[in-house]
Amino acid sequence: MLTANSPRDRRSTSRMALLMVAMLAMLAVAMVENVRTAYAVQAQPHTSASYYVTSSSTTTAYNHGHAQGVADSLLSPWPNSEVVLDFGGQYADGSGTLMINGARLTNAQIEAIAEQYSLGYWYGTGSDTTSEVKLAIGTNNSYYDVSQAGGNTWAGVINDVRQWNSLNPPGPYCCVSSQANAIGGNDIEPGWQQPGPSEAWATGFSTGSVTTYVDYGSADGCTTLSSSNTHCFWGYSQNCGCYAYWWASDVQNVSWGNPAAFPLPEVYVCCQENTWLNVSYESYFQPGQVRLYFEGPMDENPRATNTYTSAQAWHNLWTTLNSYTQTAGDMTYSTELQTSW
Amino acid sequence: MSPKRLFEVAVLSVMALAVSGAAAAIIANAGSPSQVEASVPPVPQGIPAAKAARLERERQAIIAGRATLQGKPADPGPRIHAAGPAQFPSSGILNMHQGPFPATEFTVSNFWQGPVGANWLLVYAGAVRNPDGSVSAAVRLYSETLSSDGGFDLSKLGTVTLPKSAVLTIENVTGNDLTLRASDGSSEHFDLNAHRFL
Repeated sequence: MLTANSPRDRRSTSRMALLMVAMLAMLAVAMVENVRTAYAVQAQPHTSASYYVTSSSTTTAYNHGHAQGVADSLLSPWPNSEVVLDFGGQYADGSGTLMINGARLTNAQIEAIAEQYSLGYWYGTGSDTTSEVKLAIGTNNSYYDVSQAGGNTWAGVINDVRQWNSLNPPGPYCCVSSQANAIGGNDIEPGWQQPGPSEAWATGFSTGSVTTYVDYGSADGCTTLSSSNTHCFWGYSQNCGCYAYWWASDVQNVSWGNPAAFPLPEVYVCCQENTWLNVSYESYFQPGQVRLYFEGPMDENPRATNTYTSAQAWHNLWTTLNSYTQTAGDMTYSTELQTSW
Repeated sequence: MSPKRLFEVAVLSVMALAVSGAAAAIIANAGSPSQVEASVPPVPQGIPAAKAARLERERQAIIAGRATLQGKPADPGPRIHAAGPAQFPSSGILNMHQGPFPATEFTVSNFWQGPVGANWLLVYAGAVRNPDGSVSAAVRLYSETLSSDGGFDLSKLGTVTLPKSAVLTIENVTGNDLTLRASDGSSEHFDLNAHRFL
């Protein structure tokens, strides 16, 4: 017969206590079900140079492409880079863009700049024949042609550059397209325009081109996750509101929901990474959607030294996204805007 | 086998090895279809089919470019700009809302550029967005210089604010005097040479 204080009973009590502790621990984990705890930060890839284009000089374009090619060829193993060339907002008549310094470019000049950048990269990589530059030819949603027609026009620009890259240089050394992948780009910011025109632009692009585009804009004001971790009702809750009449669903649509779109977000300052986390988190819960697959962060530290460095932008975006199982994942690129073209 | 014959066999063997090595190098340079395919990373798993299809098309375009590549010519190095210097655009006011900064950091209502002394000045008029959501009337200044390769170099000079919650719009420029209208209706003047409000 067992007595209350027998060794066997004490062992049994200890086991019960251990079991209860384990159950409590499991309960605690369940309560914070979405929060990941232990992980190693993905190593940051090398950071490429992106630019606001401010002139029609194809020499400048060639030399910047060449410098990126040389830089990539010196790395081991040979890497892939993503570079944004921002050409400013589109004119309403579809003829070209107004650059951020107030100078005008025609679509033909934009194409020539992108082609010469690609050619410079190809030559600059030298004996390295496997590095690849994903060249995002970018506009923004600040000016007049933020419309389906504008997206379609931009798709035509990308198609022309890709065609040129697949035919040059002519002869046995063809082709630049072996290492330069021209795609679209758009610096879509809620602060510039209500969502409808930007979403129409995305539709116009995706119907005009079989390639992708990157949204290298922002998710300004998209509410960060609440402490309760309860996801909001898509598009109809204050929890999913962003800046200036944008919902998180609108940001998701132009950066991921559209079949051509991939996010390469601005991560300049705290806490832009959190706004993108919210967009990705909400995307996860929508029928037919998954989390956002981020290309990587874009920073502007060379232009503004009080903003995130490329290492900080990478670390903060990656750790923020990987704090939740629903949004966890790795990224491929890191790029930063340079001081001048 | 005589020493002479041995020598001939050795020389021929070395030559055969050299020839086969060179042939292998050429083949390797061109790359077999499987090597070319393997040189381009696959499309990541888990991406929706419509998006994955676009990435795969881009991937196939790179593979097609590499499949025909017979090597590359020697790198000619950076180019030297042969044409004349770039021309600054016309001086004046533009109804432009973009700038080399995020819209939520500084909201641009319009823009002026033109010569001020020996410099080419760019003025973005509008408001700084403060962390608490309020705005401060301000102009943001850049200078632009000609670069050696036919382009422009853009340098930030700074942001000059007014102690008022308003958005500025450029109305007129006379000499170095920039006249602006604030969203509260007041008229402001900015000295383009001294970079300060009057």
